[in-house]
Amino acid sequence: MTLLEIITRAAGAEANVEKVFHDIMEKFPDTAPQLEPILAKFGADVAPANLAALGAAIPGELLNIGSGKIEPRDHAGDAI
Amino acid sequence: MKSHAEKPLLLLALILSALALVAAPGHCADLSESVHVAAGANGAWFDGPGTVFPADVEVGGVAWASLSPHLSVFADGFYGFSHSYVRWDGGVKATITDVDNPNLSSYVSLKYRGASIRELKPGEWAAGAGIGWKPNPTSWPRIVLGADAAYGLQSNRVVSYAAIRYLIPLK
Repeated sequence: MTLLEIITRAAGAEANVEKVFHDIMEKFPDTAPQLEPILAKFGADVAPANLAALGAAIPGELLNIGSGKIEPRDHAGDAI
Repeated sequence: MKSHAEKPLLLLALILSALALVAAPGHCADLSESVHVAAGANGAWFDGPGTVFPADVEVGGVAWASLSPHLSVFADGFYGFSHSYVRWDGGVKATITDVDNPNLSSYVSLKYRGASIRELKPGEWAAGAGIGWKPNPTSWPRIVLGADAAYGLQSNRVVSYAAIRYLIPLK
């Protein structure tokens, strides 16, 4: 499963983001060299192991947060 | 039973409580490690039952606190230029990609969203997913590109957006 597929399934709609990228590249071909790598990143596979790790980690992390133990991470997605 | 007016306040209280927890002495060596803010712009699309206008361009900001390797709480507000509205969200994100990669991450989210105009109401809980990517962490470490889409559990409407953010240094 790719990141774009996750967004599409979660939203239950067409992946507007992917369409926008393709529309921009079609109208402004000069941008394609810059935008294609971005689209490829968004289309990268999400490892099933990471999804399994999420399910296993959440209960413990909630307990830690509840007890005041904070373990911050820096994630690009948090800014979106 | 909570009224619709009380739900945003309840959520805001939860987020502020989380931020206060992070800020409490002894819980975090450096506040700036947990709490972040960013300003940016969105190309936003609206889809689903009762949608009045399909898209807009928004500017605004996001604040968030990373509480654990996977979990963070956030709140954001954006102004839509073409239709003169303020749209806001607040909730929880869970990272579903490598938690130790600061430059590319994907997440699922549960948030309460609201807006200032009738066309984007009701205020409601929404489930979604998104991605964020720093295209050049070396030269532009504060620039993040991304996308998000969320499904309103009451309205069945989808709000999706492509985003650019500037991470604002707090110290």
